[in-house]
Amino acid sequence: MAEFHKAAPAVPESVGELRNAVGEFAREHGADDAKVMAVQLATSEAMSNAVVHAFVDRPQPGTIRVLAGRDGDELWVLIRDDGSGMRPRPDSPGLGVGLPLMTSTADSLRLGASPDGGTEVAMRFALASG
Amino acid sequence: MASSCRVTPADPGLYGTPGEVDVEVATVRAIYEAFGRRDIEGMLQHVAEDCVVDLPGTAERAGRDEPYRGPDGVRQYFADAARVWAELTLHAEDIRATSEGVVVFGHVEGVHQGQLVRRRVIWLWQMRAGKAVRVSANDLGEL
Repeated sequence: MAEFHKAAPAVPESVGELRNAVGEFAREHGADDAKVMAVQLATSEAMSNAVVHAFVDRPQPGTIRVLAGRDGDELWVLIRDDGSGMRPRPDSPGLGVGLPLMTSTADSLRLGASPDGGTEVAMRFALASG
Repeated sequence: MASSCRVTPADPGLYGTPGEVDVEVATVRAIYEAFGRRDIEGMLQHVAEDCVVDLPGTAERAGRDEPYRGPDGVRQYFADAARVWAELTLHAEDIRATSEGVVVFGHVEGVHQGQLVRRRVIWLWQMRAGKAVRVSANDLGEL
């Protein structure tokens, strides 16, 4: 069950707000400074992808939703949107370029179809140092 | 298994891909082409000894719950793919590189237990010294 659940309009202003909130959640659950930064960086990338790309075919932006929780020595974070999904777009130079950064920042990353209808990014971050 | 791969020709004018990573795009493209030929050794030329191959679409259908690892893992992946798919075609439609890795947008088409499977997929590749060290396939739903 998610211990953290926040939703916001898929606009740039929401990214900073949700980034700070999920970072605070990570810190409260044992993440050190470096891990908090990793969680915030990867989450920001996922949210920014949604803001920039998920609603290009819509007159209004939809919603991004961030869920997080602790599972043993790991923190998990889900970023969901209700957009039109990640699809190849030759007209969009930036689509997908943040994904490798998220891959290298999180301890695991999985993309999938969101129950909200768009894309879901699922990440895990190890909290234990050894 | 009828196995193949369709790679959309690159347009170097698109995407603003940095020049330093063109080699990595070419390497990933060569891996898809090798898979299309079912050329295991050709694929292994581009894969690091410690490569992690996380392709759950095949692995889970083969009853496997963890990624394939290293050259023997690649060979096992080919064997599993041949066993669980009557046909399998990987469509790499849009290959993009960054300093952190290579992203491939595309889809797979296959036949598993008599059923046609068509799924949108994003493959994420991590590279080191010109070779793949990790690939993960991400299923984005039915095509």
